[in-house]
Amino acid sequence: MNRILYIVTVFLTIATSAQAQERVEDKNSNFFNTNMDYGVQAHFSIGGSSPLGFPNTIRKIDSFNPGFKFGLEANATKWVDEKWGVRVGLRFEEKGMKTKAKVKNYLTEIVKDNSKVRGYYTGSVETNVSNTYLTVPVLAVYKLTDDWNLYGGLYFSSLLDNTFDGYVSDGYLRQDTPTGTKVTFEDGSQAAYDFSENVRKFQWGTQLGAEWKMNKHFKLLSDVTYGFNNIFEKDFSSIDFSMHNIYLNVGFGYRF
Amino acid sequence: MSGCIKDEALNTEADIETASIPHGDQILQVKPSIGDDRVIFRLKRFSGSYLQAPEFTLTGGATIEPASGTEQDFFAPKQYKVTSQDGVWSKTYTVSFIIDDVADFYSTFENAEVVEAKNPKGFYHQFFELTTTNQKKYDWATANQGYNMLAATLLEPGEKLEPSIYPTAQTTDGYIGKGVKMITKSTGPLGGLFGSPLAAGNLFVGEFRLASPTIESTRFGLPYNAKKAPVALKGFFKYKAGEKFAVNTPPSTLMKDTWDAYAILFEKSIDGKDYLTGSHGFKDARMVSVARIGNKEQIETNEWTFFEIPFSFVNGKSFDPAKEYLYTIVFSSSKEGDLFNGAVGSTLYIDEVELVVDQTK
Repeated sequence: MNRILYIVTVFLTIATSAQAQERVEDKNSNFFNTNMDYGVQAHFSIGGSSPLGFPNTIRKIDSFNPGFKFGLEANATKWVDEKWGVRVGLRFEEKGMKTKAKVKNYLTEIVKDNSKVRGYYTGSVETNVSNTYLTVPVLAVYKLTDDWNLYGGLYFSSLLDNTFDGYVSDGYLRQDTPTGTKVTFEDGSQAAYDFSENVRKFQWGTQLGAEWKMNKHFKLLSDVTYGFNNIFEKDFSSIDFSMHNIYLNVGFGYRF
Repeated sequence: MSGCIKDEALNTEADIETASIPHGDQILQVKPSIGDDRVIFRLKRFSGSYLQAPEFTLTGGATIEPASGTEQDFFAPKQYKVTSQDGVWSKTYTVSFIIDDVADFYSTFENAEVVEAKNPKGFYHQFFELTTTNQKKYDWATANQGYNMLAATLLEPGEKLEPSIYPTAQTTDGYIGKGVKMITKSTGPLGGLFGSPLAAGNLFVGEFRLASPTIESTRFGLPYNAKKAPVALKGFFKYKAGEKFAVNTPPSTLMKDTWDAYAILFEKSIDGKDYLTGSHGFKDARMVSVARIGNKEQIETNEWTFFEIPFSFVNGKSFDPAKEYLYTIVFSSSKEGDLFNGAVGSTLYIDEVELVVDQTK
C-alpha cells in the first residue's frame, strides 16, 4: 500500500508543479508551447510473460495472478494538424505475474554457478515474474472525436530491476532424455530455479490504445502492449520456447 | 486460458512401472525389484524349472517386446525392449529370476561390474555376487547412481568420468583381494538444489531408487533366509577422516567426521513395504535386532583392522523362525551422511564382511 501512496504522491507533485510552470511560460510562442499537450498518467497492468500460442508441453494453468503492477508516465503530444499528433513519453513501469501450471515433458535446465542439469520435467511449475522497466513510448495520436483519441506506435524499454524465479514440485525430471535418470519430487519436496539474471535488458514492442477525455484536464485510458522480443536473452536455453510481454493497461491521466 | 492448451503430445517415456507373476505372493520372497534397466524376481525355492510368464505394466501407451505374459525359460536372464508411445524412445531391460535360498552372509567384494550410464553419461561400480547356480545377484547397493546425476559437473581438472571418482568404488587394495573404498564427496553448487549438499560414500544391502528427498532413495533390506537370529557383524576396515567437518543439517553430535557400520534385522510390514529408507534414524517400529559400531571401533587407522559388533534385540522383540524377516547392512564414510554432515575426503575401506548367524541347534 505504501507503494501506491508513493506513486499517487509523485503523480500529484508533478501535476501541480507543471501547472505552476505553465502560467509563467505562457508569454512568447515556440515549438514547445504551440499546439503542444503535456500530460502525466498512471496505470495498472494485467498481463503476463507468455509464449505465443502455448507449446503442447503446457497442460494446464492452475492459477494466474497478475498482481498489482503500476506504471507512471509523463508525455508530450505535438499536434501536427487538426487530427494527428506525435507523442513521446517517459514511463516507469512494472510488469509481472504469478502462475502455477502443470507441464508434461517440459524441457528445462537447472543451472547454478556454471553447473547445470538439463532434462524433461513433468509436474507442477510455479513462476513468479516481476520486472521493472524504464520505457520510452513513441506514438501517433489520432483525434477521433472531441472526446476520443486513438493512439498507437512503438515503445522501447530498458530493464531496471528483474525477477523471474519459481520452483517445481509434485513431479519428476528425466535427465537428458525422456528415458534418462528419473528424479522424483513428491511429498512437498521441491527444486527452486531462478532465471532473473537472464532477463533481457532491452525490450521493444508495440502499443495500441484509446483515451477518453472526461473534461479539459482529466482522461481515462486503456491500451495493450506487446513485446516483439523474447523476454529472455538470446543465448538462454533453459526454456525452449520464447516468451513475450503482453499486457493490458488501464489508467487515468492529467493534461495541463 | 484453457482454450490455449494444445492437444497432448504422445508419451515419450519407456518405463516398466510394475512387474508381477501369477501367484507372486506365494512364490516370491519379496516384490520384484525394478531398476532403471533391470528387473529381478527373487524366487523362494526352485520348483523344477525356470519357465515363467512375467507381466509388466508400462508408461501409458508404451509397448514391450516380448509381450507381457509371454512364457520364457529364465534359466538365463532375458532382455525386454520397451518402446515409448511416440515410437521415438526405447529402453532395454534385463529381466532375471534368481533363487537365493542359501543363508550365506559372507561378502568378499571380488566382483564388480561397471555400469555404463547413458543419460547422463557415467561409469561407476556395481557390486554383485553369484548364486550357487551362477546367477548374478546385486545384494549390495550404493548411491553412485545419484552422484552420477551431477558427476560430470563435479570433475576436478585432470579427472575423467571413471568408477574411482564416484563415492563408492571397488579397490584392488582390499584386505584379501579386492575390497570397497568409500569416500565422502562434495556435490557442488547443484547438490543443495537436489537436496543433497554432500555425498558420503556408502554401501548397503538393499537397492537404490532415485527419489526426492534424496535420503528416501536408499532402500535398505533384503530377505533374511536364515532360520536363526543374526548374532554379530564382522569384517575389516581402514579409515581416515577428512579435514573440514561440515554440518549441513544442524545440530550435529560430532566435532570431527567418523564412519559408520550397522546391521538391522526387521519385520516385513503388513502393507508390503519391503525396506527401510535412509531416514529411519533407528526409530522404525519394525526393527527386531540391531548391531551398531561403537566409539571404540570408530578410529582412524591406515592398517586393515578387524571389527566385530554384536546384535541386541530392540523394541522388546525376539526372533521367530516361522516369521519372514528382512535384513540390511550399512556402511558409510561419514556417520551423519544421512543428514549430509561430514568431511569431504573422509575415506573408509571395507572388506571381508560377514553377518554371523547363531549356529546353535
